[in-house]
Amino acid sequence: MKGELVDLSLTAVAEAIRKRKVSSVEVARACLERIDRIQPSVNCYIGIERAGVLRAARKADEAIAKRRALGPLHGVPLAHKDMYYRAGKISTGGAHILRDYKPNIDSTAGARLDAAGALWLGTLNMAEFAANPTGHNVHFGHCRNPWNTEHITGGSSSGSGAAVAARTCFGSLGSDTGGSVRLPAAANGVVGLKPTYGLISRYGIVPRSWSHDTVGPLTRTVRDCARMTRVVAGSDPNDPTSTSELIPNYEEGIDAGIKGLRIGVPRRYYCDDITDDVRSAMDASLAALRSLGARIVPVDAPDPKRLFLVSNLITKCEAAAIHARWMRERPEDYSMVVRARVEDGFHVPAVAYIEALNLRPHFLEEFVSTVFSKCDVLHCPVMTLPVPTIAETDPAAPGDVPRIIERLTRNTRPFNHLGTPALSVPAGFSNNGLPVAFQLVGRPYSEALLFRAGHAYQSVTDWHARAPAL
Amino acid sequence: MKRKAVTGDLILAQARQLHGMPLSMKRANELASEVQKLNDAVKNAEHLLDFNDDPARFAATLVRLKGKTR
Repeated sequence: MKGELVDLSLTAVAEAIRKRKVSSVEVARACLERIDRIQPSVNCYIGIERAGVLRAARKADEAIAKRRALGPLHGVPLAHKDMYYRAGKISTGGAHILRDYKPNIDSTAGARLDAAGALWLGTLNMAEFAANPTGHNVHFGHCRNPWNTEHITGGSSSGSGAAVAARTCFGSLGSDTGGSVRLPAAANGVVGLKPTYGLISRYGIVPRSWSHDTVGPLTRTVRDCARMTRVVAGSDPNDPTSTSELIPNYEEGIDAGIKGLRIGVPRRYYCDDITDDVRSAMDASLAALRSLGARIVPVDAPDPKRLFLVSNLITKCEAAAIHARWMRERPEDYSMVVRARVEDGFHVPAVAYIEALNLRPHFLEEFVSTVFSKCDVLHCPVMTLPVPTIAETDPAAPGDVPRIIERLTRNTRPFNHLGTPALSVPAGFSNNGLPVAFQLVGRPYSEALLFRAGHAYQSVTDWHARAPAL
Repeated sequence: MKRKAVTGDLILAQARQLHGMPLSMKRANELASEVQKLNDAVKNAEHLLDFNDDPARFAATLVRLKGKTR
């Protein structure tokens, strides 16, 4: 079984470990061997915890031998964006400024994965301070797309997308403030969830923008994503914005199918500048969903440009507040891109910032009544263009940054502002051989429905089973 | 009174006097244009705002408009 271990899905490997078809130590060793092979070309890891993961895997195997109660991720190696705090261990946030930063708390999401039996394989590359959707990182080296290392991984959870796609780990926590889970999921051909705002605790993570930050898993299958989400979701007294809603078992009912489900396709805006190859992939994905019994319904979604701009205003102001002291005292320690993205926030009036926050419920009401009165789930591309190269998305000057950011995040950021869940699902490949993805967007707290629809799609397609040749 | 456009001079003065951050005139002009765009987006939607609005209402709205949990 060893040769195929890293190709197993998260839920399949968890089952194999539980049934003692394979040991956790064998699985961890297979992951470490895979990391050694791909890390020099892909650079998706910032830290690799060899001794720690093998020690934890031995303990996991002992627990199985002693027939102890096992969690849903028992013995499964995961790796996470390097922004999930563990007391006494370095969390760089992909930033030079945090290169030696050792927080004294544990993130709630990380602690819940530990409690579910998951192993910590390493920390993953990411865009500096989670602030660049290309995934570029001048401090730790760019993470490279395993499908073609000349191309971007998408960001900011760059390492999460690449590490999961390259079969070095079975799942990863990223974070999504404007698209930072969905973009790398899409660009690397894996599944990624931006949950409803507040579904998963933000306690103990590097902040990017408090009102927009969400914690989200990246995995190879939708079922894997459902399992990780269930483990980490739910109320947390340490995060006052976390939900008090009950968290369902997302895997229950995931096989129920989508017969009669109304899938909305926006008539305008979301595909305005789409390339032919990405459109073909979107059309094919809709045909597959229709073949499963879904009804495809054209809908008039509100113009996302307004959501994009108001959201941008909020995140810039919050980022300026988060970084104010360091921006004053050590601006040279930031990359040009992060400086450029934060600088504007210092010059927006406080009144405009608060008005922008107050607009969110109004925009959400308008969107839900306009869109979700006509459909159950909205379908649109994550990106309307093929995954670009690293060179194409490297800005020469601060003035170039907004154009690059907007081109990549125009279809993702609006849903951060609305707070609605959005699931990125692999949907084929563009003409340049890089993955393409659609996102399914639902009403707040409709993750179970998104998982059911995404899982149904994966039951009749095999894009998620394809692996980059490395 | 009609609002005037945000200028590079205003950004430069704010950067120096409010934030203690040096800035070139070229960059101040770029920021002025971006800040203008962001402010306009809010101003253009201000007819939606109500006297009783409260930023904390967002979380309650998410719950109120929630979808099926299965």
